[in-house]
Amino acid sequence: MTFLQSVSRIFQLMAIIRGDTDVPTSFSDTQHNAEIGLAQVAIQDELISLIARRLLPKERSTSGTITTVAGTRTYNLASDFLRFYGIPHLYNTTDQINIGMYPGGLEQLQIDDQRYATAPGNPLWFYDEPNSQTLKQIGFYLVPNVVRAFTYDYEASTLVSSASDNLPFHTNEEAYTFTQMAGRRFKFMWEDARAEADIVRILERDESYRTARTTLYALLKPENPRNSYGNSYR
Amino acid sequence: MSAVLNPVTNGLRLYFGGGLNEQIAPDINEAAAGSYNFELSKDTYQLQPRKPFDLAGTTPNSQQITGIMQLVTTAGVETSLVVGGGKVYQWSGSSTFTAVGTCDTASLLRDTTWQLDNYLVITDISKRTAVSKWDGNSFGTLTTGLGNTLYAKYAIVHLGRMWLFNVKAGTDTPHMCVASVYENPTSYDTTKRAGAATLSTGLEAFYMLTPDLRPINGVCRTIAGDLIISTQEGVLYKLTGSSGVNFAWAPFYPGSQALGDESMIGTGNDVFYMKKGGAIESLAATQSYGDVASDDLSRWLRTTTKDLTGCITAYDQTKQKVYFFIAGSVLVFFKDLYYGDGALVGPTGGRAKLSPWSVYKTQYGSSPLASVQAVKYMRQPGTTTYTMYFGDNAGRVIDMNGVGASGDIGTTDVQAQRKTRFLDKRQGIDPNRHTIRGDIEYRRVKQCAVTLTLEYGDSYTSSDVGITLKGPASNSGVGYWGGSAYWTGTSYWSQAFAFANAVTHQTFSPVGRGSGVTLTISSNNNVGYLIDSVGFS
Repeated sequence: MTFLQSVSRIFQLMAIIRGDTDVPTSFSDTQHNAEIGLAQVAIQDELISLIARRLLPKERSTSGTITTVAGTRTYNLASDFLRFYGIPHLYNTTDQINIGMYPGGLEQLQIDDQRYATAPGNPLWFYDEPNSQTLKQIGFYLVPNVVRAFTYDYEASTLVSSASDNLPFHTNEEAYTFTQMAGRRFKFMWEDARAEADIVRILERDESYRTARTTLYALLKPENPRNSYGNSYR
Repeated sequence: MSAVLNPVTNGLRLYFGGGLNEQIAPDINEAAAGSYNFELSKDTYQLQPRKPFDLAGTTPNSQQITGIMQLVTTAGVETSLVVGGGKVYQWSGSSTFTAVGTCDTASLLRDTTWQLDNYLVITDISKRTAVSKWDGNSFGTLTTGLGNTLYAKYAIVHLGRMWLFNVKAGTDTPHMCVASVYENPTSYDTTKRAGAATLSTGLEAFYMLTPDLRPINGVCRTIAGDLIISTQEGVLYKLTGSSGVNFAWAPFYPGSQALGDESMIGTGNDVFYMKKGGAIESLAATQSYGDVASDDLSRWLRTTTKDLTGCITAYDQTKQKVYFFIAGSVLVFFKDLYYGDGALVGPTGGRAKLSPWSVYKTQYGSSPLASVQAVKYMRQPGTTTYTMYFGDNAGRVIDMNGVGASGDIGTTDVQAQRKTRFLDKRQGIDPNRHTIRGDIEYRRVKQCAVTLTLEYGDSYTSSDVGITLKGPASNSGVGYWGGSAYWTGTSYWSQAFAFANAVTHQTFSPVGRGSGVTLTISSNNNVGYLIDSVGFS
């Protein structure tokens, strides 16, 4: 289901699509200008909430790569990088070893080795590098003096922005249920244009929203095999 | 739930029964200043654009049209004349123009039918062409029996005579009228004044002067049959007496102060004219004429009519409209809204005394309305259907009740616009409190686009809502001879035109916020769409 289809489905749920009214064909449609804007925000807000809870299987990306350059300490992460998948680590494909994040991060490293920014060698650790760029960065310790190729798994951004972007769900069941949740958020956002009410409190008290969220969680939850054999006796 | 979650007020639904009102706070059913090209009717509250101006024909010389005239004989034989660039053409109603005479290029020729002998007596508002005659075959100067050539601005047939007003026979005498010999419009006398002292039988020709000696600038007949004349910025007079020996002008409305050469007109039950300052007045009389009431018809159009100095007024009896042609536009007065119970203000049948005005404009090239010097309500040549024609400065004769599918002059879309007053929570809409949602209720006439523009108070922003009004369902499956359709079968009359004129709705939601909002509905197409109402919640 695309972002636009999700917006249209919200309009149907909210009885905005009725009579001769057609579903919007783009986000530039001026007929439903205000409602399209609010519905986009509602969907994105709900999506962010799910992303924060690590509930979306489509988040995992295995395509992260970094190739070091001798003398360069910091490197950009992927443009859609949200955070590392699982336990943060980089795989050195040249030496076929994993390296991890420096315990205590950059703050601890600065204390442990005042030459951290220049000490050369084959990297043993990496750390989050605060920066003012548009992309997230990491720094290596030791500062690479050799060319090494690293790969990493990460949680990619699944936020939607264009009308044709697909919602990050595998099935229509998930997408429809998610749209139901977003529709409830849309309803209260529309009714409270001044944002005077506490919308989180309203949603937590809204049975339709809570039911949809529970349904979505049930649909998203993976069915892993039991972690013990045989019958359980007590 | 907190109250804020149900902020939608009682809502607001707009209907379009009232006309243009340029005052600061028009009624919610009226159109605010800046509105134009919409129709009105006492029987509907719908918004409908005006009909297109059809090009009926273009004179061979493509010069300014200065006269449109028509003779319909007692036998029903009709001939039509169009005057332009000093040439008089007989017109077929379409592209055939045959030159039948000449006149001064600045002449503004107007016709009066002398039905007894089946010819037109033709006068000239400019008094440059002698009083003339058209008998269906030839155009020429009318025999008058006078030594000097006779020029006249106005003519009317009254009490068996041809009356000519604002005349010149040697000396220009704009304050004079001459009346023909009884039942003989070819004999006049500018030496004998009406009255027993000069006339013996009362059937002779005579002349009369206006009591205030001001130029005559209009003449018409009331519904009671009285002859009324107007003097320039002067007085309305009524003719009294029954024959030449006792005819006299009696004051009818001393405060008229009428302007212009062609602003005054009889509209069946009333007399309209333009007075000093540009106001358009109505003269409504009591049965006895002892109590004359005047009213300012243009009180809704203060801005547009301010300081106008004249216009050409025409009355469409069929459609009950009075047209006031001013430079660049036509002010349209819908009589049936003004008289009676007023305009419909919604589907429940309620009525209110609202503005009966609209304004017609056109976007066609150099506007045909820029310089109108001839207007005529008459039969469409070759038919018995009456319509309103006007001529422009390029030799075009234009039918105001067009049926063309390609817009004005067959080429240009009709641009219609209707604005509301400023709407806020006092009317049931609060765009500062909640997002505006609305619906448009319309008839499925034909697919076309309309734009709803909302201008917000305080923030001084506006946003457009584009809506495509849908037409009837496609006419696939039309039955045809020999086809599968047959009596008692599944096909039935009008099946192929399902949903035609059916009521339907579309929703919309504009962006924007402010203390209130002004809604403008506009269109630029060739579709006579019908919008029943626009609702907000």
